[in-house]
Amino acid sequence: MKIFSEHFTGEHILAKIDVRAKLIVVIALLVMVLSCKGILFPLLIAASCFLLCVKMRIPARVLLLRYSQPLFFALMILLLKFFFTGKDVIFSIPLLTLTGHKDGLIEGLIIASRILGGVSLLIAFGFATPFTELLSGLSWLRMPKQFVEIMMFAYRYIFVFLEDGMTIYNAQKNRLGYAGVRKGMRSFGTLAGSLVIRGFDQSQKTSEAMIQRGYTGDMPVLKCSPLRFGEIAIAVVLIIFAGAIWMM
Amino acid sequence: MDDVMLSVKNISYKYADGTHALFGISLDVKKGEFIGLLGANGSGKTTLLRVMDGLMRNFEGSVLLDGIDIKDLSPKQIYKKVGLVFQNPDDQLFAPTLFEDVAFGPLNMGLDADDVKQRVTSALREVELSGLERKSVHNLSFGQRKRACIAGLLAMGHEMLLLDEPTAGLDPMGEYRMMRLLQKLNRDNGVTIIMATHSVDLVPVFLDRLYILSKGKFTRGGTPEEVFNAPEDMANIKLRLPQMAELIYRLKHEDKMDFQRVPLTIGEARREIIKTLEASAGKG
Repeated sequence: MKIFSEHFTGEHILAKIDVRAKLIVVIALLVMVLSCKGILFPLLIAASCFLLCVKMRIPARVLLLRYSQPLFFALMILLLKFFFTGKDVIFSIPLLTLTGHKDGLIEGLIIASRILGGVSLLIAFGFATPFTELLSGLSWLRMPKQFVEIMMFAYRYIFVFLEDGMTIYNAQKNRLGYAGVRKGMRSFGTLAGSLVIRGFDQSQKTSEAMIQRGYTGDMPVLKCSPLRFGEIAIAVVLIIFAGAIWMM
Repeated sequence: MDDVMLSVKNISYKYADGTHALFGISLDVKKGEFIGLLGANGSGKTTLLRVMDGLMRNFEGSVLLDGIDIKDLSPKQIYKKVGLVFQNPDDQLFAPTLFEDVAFGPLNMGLDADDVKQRVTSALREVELSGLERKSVHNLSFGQRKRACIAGLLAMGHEMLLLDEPTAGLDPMGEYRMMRLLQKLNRDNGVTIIMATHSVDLVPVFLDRLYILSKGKFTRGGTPEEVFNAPEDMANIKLRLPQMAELIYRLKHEDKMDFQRVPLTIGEARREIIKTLEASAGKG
């Protein structure tokens, strides 16, 4: 199983840009996308991000997988809005008690485009930035320490947790733990309980490992080098350019 | 003695559930020694290592680190000198990437970024993991993860490493590589090493001294030759002789061949066999 930044190749131009510059641009664009009243700007951002991902040579299957969930949500919201909200009726299907509304469609399109634009931004950013750089960028942005530390542990232990879960699941399956709904439910309950206990156990061991390497409650992070003028300039130009389009 | 780095005196330990894990263990470890704790599962090896590392403090007896009782030292003071490598690397590696994990200790020591980078690079070079700095920990192989744990402690400049079954779960080449690495750290860098193991075939080649632990007590101690000279004792504590020693022992007792000593390695066994054959040819 791979997460976003593991597709990071380091060869793309975006990889060479300081994470803080990327973060500033992404946050600014995100605000613009979410506050945009039209659909063109978010869709333009979504298309640009998609092209960036293609340029970064992210495999089509991976991209499809990443986009499938936001696309699904965007489509669901579009349909719900179209059929269930609004006053300006375009058509109706009495048999299915469905009525299409023009204003609902517009609202749905706006929300769907915001979802696509916002998610595309995060997807492209995720592929273009190693996870550890993201953490140091977030620290630089004065994100709460606890939040950054939890993200770091989650990144490390989600895989250990999944591996443990799969091992227990397979062990149960091998002994017919999932032969039937009731047995399956009981086995799944045991699996969940075991994982909680293992989680506590793991936390104890990790805490010991950290203490013996000098942990006293503050997670140390390598300090970022000063931001280069060129990168700040590129970020500002990009934000101004995007802002100009956003205002049009 | 001046060069004693760690002195364990009459240690006993009882777990909260009533299990008595250690009974009156005493041991002196000199600077630069490579010592093995050999014992079957449940013999108390891990408990002893954790007591020596200061992770368990409610024990009876005393552990002196450079002459100072470990109970009087703060964790920071202990872990500047001693580090424990856990048996399961996933218990020890917690940072997202290899670089970050190895850098964790030096950063906590308050070193500046350049020094941290230099230490991490050097530690990773020592354990032959250079070039994998940016790799996610979960994408490393089991053997690499084991070596990464050692790198994390090396980067802190520990004088003593305690290792809990460092070869467990490794393939034969991985076991050999790990032992060569530990030998190199011990000989070239002067790191004092105490390792718990039940791998009887590997230890004679590398260790200076060996202690057999059974049911929380030391039953034998000394050089590998001295320890493996009593095969009956080994069987009693659910261990066996190294295979070479077993072969020579059988040739001696079942085939009445005249061997002067019990060899522990293939090289020693070869020399002993040739010597015995030459001696019997001379007699003939």
